[in-house]
Parts: sequence; structure tokens; C-alpha cells
Amino acid sequence: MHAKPTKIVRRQNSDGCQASTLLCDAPSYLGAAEGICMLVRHFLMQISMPQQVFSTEIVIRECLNNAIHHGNENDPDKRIKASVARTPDGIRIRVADEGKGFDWKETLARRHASDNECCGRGLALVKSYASRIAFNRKGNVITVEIPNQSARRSEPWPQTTA
Amino acid sequence: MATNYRVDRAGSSCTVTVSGALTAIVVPELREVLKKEMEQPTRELVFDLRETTMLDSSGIGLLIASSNSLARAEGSIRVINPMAEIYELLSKMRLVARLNVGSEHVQG
Repeated sequence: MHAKPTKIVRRQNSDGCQASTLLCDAPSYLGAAEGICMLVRHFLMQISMPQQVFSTEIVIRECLNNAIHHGNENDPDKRIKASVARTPDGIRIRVADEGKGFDWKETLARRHASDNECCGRGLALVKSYASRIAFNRKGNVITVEIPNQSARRSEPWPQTTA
Repeated sequence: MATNYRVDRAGSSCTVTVSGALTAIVVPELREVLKKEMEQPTRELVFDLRETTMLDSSGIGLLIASSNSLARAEGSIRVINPMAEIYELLSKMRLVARLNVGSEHVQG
């Protein structure tokens, strides 16, 4: 039902740990994002981090949805690139799109959606699971760090940097 | 992970059971199904999440939109049986009371 991402590479970290980084390069549509999420689940099981599956999947889903809808403006001819890496403190996710970027400082500073609003919660969801969020200057690459399950906190909102 | 959903009606109460992921890829279709379902008199819409393994911001949007629609018709929604991770997610987003989420949840 869902297209598979076209490129998957597993890298070694500098410490020689195998299968520590998953790289995906896929066309920009939701079916491909589903394929990436499936790969991420398998990857986390392979590196023995099953307790991180839900938090990592929810974060990468939101980042991919934003990249597809807002970044690449639903253009299936554009690409989305994603990586998931194990770090000493947890998981690092990076998602890049081919869009023109956005004013992430303004968006991050904004209060999240009110109780009755049906949209605008994606980044708030990412924040709630992250220990750190960073964007490139242009705003089309997001990096999110998710702490290990035992170290996760729900408040306050995470540090954000360029 | 394939997503299936089932809609059961008993009088003015309607129950939606979602199995798999309630996320952006399935929300547009389910929204249309519910829109049609809400054309019948509905006082209560129950989302049974016992088989729901993932919920994203689009899924949350669907729950809130359903709640808003029902409120206009003097009805209400309930969310029951979420797995622990989804209950935690709704709690982080401060939506447990807003969506009338049952405190009993399925252990994930």
C-alpha cells in the first residue's frame, strides 16, 4: 500500500557501533513517510531500543508531515531526507525538505493551539518529547534530540537553537 | 502498519474503533465517514482506541473537530481504552479533560 523509501544506508558511529544511523531518502508524500516510519521501528528494535519506538515515531511522523505539507508543499516530485541516529543520551532525528524554509523562531515562540483548534499541534507534539530542537538558518532542516526513556521530561519546553 | 476502522451505531450513540495508526494518512477518509455518520442524530461519539497504536497531530485534530461538531449539536465525545503511550501523549498535550479521555488505559 505504501511506497518504500528509495535509499536506506546504515552507518557506523565513530566508536564502531554498527547500525547506529538510519538514513532515508524518499519522495515527498505521506505513503513514503509511512515507509520511513516502518523502517524506523525496525531500526530501533535492531539496536535494542524498543522503549524509544513510540516517542521516536511520533516525532519523526510530525517532522515528515511538516516537511511534506509545509516544506515541499505537497509536491511529490520533491524529496524528503531523514536520519535517525543513536546517541549516548538517546536518539537524534534529522529531517530535511526541499522547500524554502520558514520563520522557525516565530513559530517556536508562538503558543500552541488553543483547546478548540483542530490543527497547529505538530511542533508542540515534537517539543513535548524533545530535549533539544534545532533548525538550520533557512528553516528547512530540523534536528530533534529525544532523551532516553528514563531521562525524559515533560516540562519545561526544550532548548531551541539555530 | 495497516489501519482499519469500524463504526457501530446504537441509537444516538456511535462508536468508532480504530485499529492501527490514527494518523495523517487515514484521517481524511475517516473524517468523511464521520461527517456522513453525524448526519444522523448523534448525542455521543465514542472513540475506542484499544487497538490504536499511534496517534499524531492529524488524529488529534480529528478528535477535536469531532468534539466541536458534537458540541454544536449538544452532544459529546469520549475517548476510551487508549494504550499507555497514547494516554501520556494526550496528557502532555493537556487534552485528557478536553477530549473526555477515560482514565483506564490499555498497557502498551
